Amino acid sequence: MLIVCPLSVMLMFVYVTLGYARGLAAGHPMEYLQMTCILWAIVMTVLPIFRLARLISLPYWFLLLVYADMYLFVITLCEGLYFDLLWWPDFTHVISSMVIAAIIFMALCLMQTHSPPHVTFGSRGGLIAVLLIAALSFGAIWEIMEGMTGILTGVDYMSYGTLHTMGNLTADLIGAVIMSAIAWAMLSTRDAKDIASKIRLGKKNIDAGI
Amino acid sequence: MDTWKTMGALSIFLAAASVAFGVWGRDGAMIGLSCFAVFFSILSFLRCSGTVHRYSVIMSATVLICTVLSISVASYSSLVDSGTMSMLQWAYISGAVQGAAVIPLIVMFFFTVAALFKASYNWVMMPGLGWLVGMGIQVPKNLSVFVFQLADIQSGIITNNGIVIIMLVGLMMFILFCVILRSVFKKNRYLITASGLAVRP
Repeated sequence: MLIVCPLSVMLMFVYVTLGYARGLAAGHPMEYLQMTCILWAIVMTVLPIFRLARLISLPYWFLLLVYADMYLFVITLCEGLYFDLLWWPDFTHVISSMVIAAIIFMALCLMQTHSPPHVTFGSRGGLIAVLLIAALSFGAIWEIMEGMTGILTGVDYMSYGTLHTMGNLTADLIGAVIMSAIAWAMLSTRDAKDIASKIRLGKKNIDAGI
Repeated sequence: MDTWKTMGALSIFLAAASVAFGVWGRDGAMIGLSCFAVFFSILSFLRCSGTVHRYSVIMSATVLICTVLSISVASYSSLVDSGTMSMLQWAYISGAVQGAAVIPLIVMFFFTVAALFKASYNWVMMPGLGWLVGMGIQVPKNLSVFVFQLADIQSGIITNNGIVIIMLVGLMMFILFCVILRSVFKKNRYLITASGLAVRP
C-alpha cells in the first residue's frame, strides 16, 4: 500500500505529463491533472506511514472505500470521464459523499464514546440525524470551494455552471442518505462504542489492539 | 389549549404562512427554508416541552420575516433589475437574509432531535456541530431553488457564482453565531436536552 498505490498514481502523473491522458483532450488543464496526481499520491503515502508509525489505525472497510474513491477520482480526471459519460460526475460525487459521511460517522461514534455522561447523541436515530445533516454540509462546503477557486483564479478549474453544481448537490444528498442507511444498519447490531473501538489512535492503543 | 401549546400552534401557522409567501413570490430558497420551519414546528408541537415552543415561534417568525424580505425589498427584481446593485452585490444581501433564516433553524434542529431521540448537547457539541447543521440545511435549500426556479437558472438570473456567494455568506454567519453561542452556553452551563434548555448542576 505504501509503495504500490502512490507509485501507480505517479505513473498516472507521467502519463499526464507526456500528454497521453484523455483528460487533457477533454479540456482539463495539465497543471490541474498534475496537481491532482501529486496530491492523491501524497495522501496514499501518508495514510500507510501513519499506520506504520502507529499513529492511527482505521477499519479496513473504511480504507477500502477511501482508496477506491481516490483511484476513482484520479482515473476519472485523467481519462476525461467527466466529459465523456454524462452520469459519471454524479456517480463519483455519490461515492465521495459516502466517504465523507463514513468519516463523519466514525467521528460521531468517537465523540459518543468519549463524551461525559451528560452529553450524548441519544438513541441510534439521534446519531444518524446529526450524521445526515453534517454529511450534507460537506457537500455544500465542497461546492463553495469549487466556486471560490473559479472566482479567485478567474479560471473554472472545477466549476461547470449552476446546473452542474445542482447535480453535484443532488448526488451528495444521495451519497449521504446511502451512508446514513448503512450506518443505521451497522448500529442495529453494535453500538457506537464498538465502532469507535476499531479506530485506534496512538502507539499504545494500536499495540494493545484497543 | 395551554399557552405553550398555543404558541406551538402559532409557530406552525407562521411557518405555513412563510411557505405560502415563498410560493407566491416564487422564491425557491425561502420555500425550502420555510418547509424546514414547518417540519420543526410540527415536531416541536408534538414532542417538545413548553419553553421550546417559544423558540419555535421565534424560528417561524424569523423565517417568515426573511421570506417577506426576500420576495419584496431584497428580491432580485427590486435590487438588480432596478439598477440599485449588481447581481453579485445582491447575492451578498440574499446570503445574509437566507443566513438569518437558517440560524433559528439550527437551534430548533437541536431541540427537536434532542426531544425525539433523548439526546443532550453541551457547549462543545452544539456550537461545534451547529455550523455544520446550518451548512447541511443549505443543500436542500439549494435543491429547492433548482426545483422552483429552474427557469431562472437557465436564463442566467441565478448564476453559480451567486449561489456560491450566498452559501459562503451563510457559512460566515453560522460560524460567527456558533462562536457567540459557545460563549453563552459555556458561561451559563446550558444543555439542550429532551426537556428543552437545561442548566447543568
